[in-house]
Amino acid sequence: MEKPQILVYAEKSLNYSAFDVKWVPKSAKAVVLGSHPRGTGILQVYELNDGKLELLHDVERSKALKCGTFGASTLEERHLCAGDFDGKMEITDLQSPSMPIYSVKAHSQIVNAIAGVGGLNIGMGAPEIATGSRDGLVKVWDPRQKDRPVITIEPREGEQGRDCWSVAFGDAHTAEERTLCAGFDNGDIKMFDLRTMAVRWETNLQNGVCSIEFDRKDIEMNKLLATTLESKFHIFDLRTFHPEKGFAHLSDQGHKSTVWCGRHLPQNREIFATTGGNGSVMLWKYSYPESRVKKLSDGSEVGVAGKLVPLQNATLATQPITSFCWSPDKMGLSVCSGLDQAIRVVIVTKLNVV
Amino acid sequence: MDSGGQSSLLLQKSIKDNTEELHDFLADLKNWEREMKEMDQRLASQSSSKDKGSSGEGPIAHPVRSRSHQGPAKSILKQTENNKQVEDNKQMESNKQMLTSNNNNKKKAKRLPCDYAAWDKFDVDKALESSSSEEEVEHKQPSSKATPPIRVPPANKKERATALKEEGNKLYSKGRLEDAVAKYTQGMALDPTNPLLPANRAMAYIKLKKYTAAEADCNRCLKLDCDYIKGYLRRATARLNLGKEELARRDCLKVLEMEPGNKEAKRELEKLRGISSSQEENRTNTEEVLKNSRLGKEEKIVQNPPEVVREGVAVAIGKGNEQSEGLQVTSHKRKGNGKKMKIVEVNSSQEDKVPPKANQILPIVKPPHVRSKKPLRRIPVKDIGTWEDMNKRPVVEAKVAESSGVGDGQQDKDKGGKVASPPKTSVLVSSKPFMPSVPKTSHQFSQDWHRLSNQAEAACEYIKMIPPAFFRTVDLETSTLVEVAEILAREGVSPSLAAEHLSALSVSHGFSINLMFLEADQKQVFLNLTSKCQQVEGHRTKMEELKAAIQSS
Repeated sequence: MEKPQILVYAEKSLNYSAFDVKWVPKSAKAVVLGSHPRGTGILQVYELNDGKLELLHDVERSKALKCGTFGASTLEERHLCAGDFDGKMEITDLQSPSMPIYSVKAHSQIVNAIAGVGGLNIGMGAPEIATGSRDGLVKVWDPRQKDRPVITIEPREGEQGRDCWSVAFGDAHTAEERTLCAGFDNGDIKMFDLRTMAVRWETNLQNGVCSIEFDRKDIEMNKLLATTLESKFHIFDLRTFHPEKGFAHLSDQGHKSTVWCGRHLPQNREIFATTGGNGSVMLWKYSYPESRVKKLSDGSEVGVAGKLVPLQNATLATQPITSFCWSPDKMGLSVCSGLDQAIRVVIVTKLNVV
Repeated sequence: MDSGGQSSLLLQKSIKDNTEELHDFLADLKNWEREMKEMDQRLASQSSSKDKGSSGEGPIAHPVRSRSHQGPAKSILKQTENNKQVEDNKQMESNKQMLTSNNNNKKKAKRLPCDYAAWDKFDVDKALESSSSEEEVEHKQPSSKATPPIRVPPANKKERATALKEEGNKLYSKGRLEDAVAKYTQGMALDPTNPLLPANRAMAYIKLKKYTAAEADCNRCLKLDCDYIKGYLRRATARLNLGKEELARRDCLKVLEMEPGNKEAKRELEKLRGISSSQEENRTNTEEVLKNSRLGKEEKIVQNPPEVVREGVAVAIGKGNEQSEGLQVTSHKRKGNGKKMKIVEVNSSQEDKVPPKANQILPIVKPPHVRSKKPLRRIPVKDIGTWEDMNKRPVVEAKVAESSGVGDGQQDKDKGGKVASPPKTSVLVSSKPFMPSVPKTSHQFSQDWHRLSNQAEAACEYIKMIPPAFFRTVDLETSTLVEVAEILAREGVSPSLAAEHLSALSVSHGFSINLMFLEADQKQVFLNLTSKCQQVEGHRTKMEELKAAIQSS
């Protein structure tokens, strides 16, 4: 009875497919990115107004837009950075969204995932945007540098590039430290240390990695959530790295189909939501073990994984829910987009008592 | 009932709680919406005013990544393989930084000797002292993090190696020999073909009194560039210190040969002479040697004791060699030949004294035009005990070769069964047929098979050697396959073995396709084979299937 509730607060049917939806920070607005049936891209901004979503902007782009982030923009500017089906990356000022203020041909194929860091007063260091693409490359961009990436991560020579499905920044607790994680269609997760410019860790989850997220990107890396095909998701405790055993690891199942998206609650990093291919949203709570580190007989330290409790499960749609975004400003407020051509504002209650 | 009623009450309460909670939440949300709109407005106006005021000035606290790296974007995955290189680069970077700061600190840069000769006048200890004091200052004030490290990535490894050499030279000139050595070592790893890097490292090693390492480096340098005078000089120094006077002297002479006026070499030679005169009573007149070397004589002559060249041969040998030998030589001298002749005679007489051992095979040296034009012949090698054995028993080789044409098995047996199988009517000199080893690959099998294909017996033996399982993996040409089938069909091969081989072959790659390309007579070979194999229990059905397949194709 003390369980949180997941309720749809407002719903908006769309005449296009929405791929990504994001709250505009410090506002009651959400931006929706998607594709018209004719293949052109669309960018819409909705504002929540007395339980209704009101359309503020509607802009068309030449190619379908796949993903977006505000992570690299300052709070004053709140520029949206988006990737499209053609491999282009653009930065848009939402006050005048008709023309992007920055556009670059980032990849040869669709940009599947985008992540930002260094903006919104979250995380230290330079603002940077990471893009992951079907062409197998992961690139890091600085909005202040036009036309060329600051880092390109290529497959090793002789290796075939895999479709990159997800990227996430983390560990940005100092100006120099920064970690980038990328998930690939073959289940690979690679963690790149952007300070030493080296692969810090890599693993394989057997199933394609649909989404990946650090519980916080502005702290020393703590936990990593990766959701995959075939209803599995994994949590890695990143505090203790064992040279042989790697990170402590926990995996669970949910949704009985692809886990499209996993997002940590910005106000409580132990709670996260996952969205599934069956149109459901699940709420989970991670609890740490008594000691997160244990000493092995040979003196080395190894991390200990905690426990995972499902808090709530609610089916909101008949089609997969592809993206989910917690409001950074209001606990329990979230927005999600589904393949049933609708966006929903979802509220989750009692999050402060779980 | 009671509990049921209680639970329904609880449920009602929770539903009420939930709705209240939701109500509160929604009310809160409305307030939040209002707040957010205000904040949004404020932020928007802030950003627009900022845009008007100072566009693009943003927080420049953190530089763009590539600006600090100043180079093309890095590929991390690729770099993981040469992480070391990255570290090297980093080290290089930091060193460079240090260097630049050093240079800035030292406005009154000292004039450092720039040529080799000047090094002897250069007081390393003093330089070391001064540089170490500078280092201390540096340690107290570590290079500030605020200034972005400047790195100019050289285009390729060679350039980088050259850059490292320059760095090493700078460090060397400061007297930081160990660091200089490290730089040179890095440079050598990048460009192993640059002779200057080992040469410079050798110099550093000499200063560090690591003479063995220095000598090795000189050797490396001279291997790369045999005309590098400094390499010889440094090696001479190293060798002199290692107590290899003779080799050191040779190096000096080499230098003087290349550059007659080289003072360093002369000085080294002086030193050497000092050492040798103190060590031995035997005078070594280097001046004379020098003369000789200048005349263009080879080092070999220099190797000989100088007396031999300078004085009369007879006298010298009389002094140095045994009496008997001396007598012999003097007798030669009486013949009144020239100097040179005498030396040759000494050598020849010495050679004569050694009786050639009968079982020792000496190399025959013939000029190319005298050599035989006939093609080389295969000579069978046999184990024939000792020299005594060979004397007792006549060599049978030639006879075997003769009789091979006759093909008489009995004769062979008479010769103590030395030759295993009767010789074939072939042109082979060796009577023993060529028998390859068990093949490991399909290709090897095909090659060996072609060599055996005209010798059915040998082919039979060969095929018996091979385990049937091998044929599963082979991929044979049609002609080879037919030949194999022919051999299998022969009487020498047992039906069971043939069946096993054939069933293995039938699953091999391309077998079914090969079947399709068979001609009528070739098909017949296979049909014969299958009917032979059908006798074997356990393979019958399979063979029938195969037969049907052959007939249908």
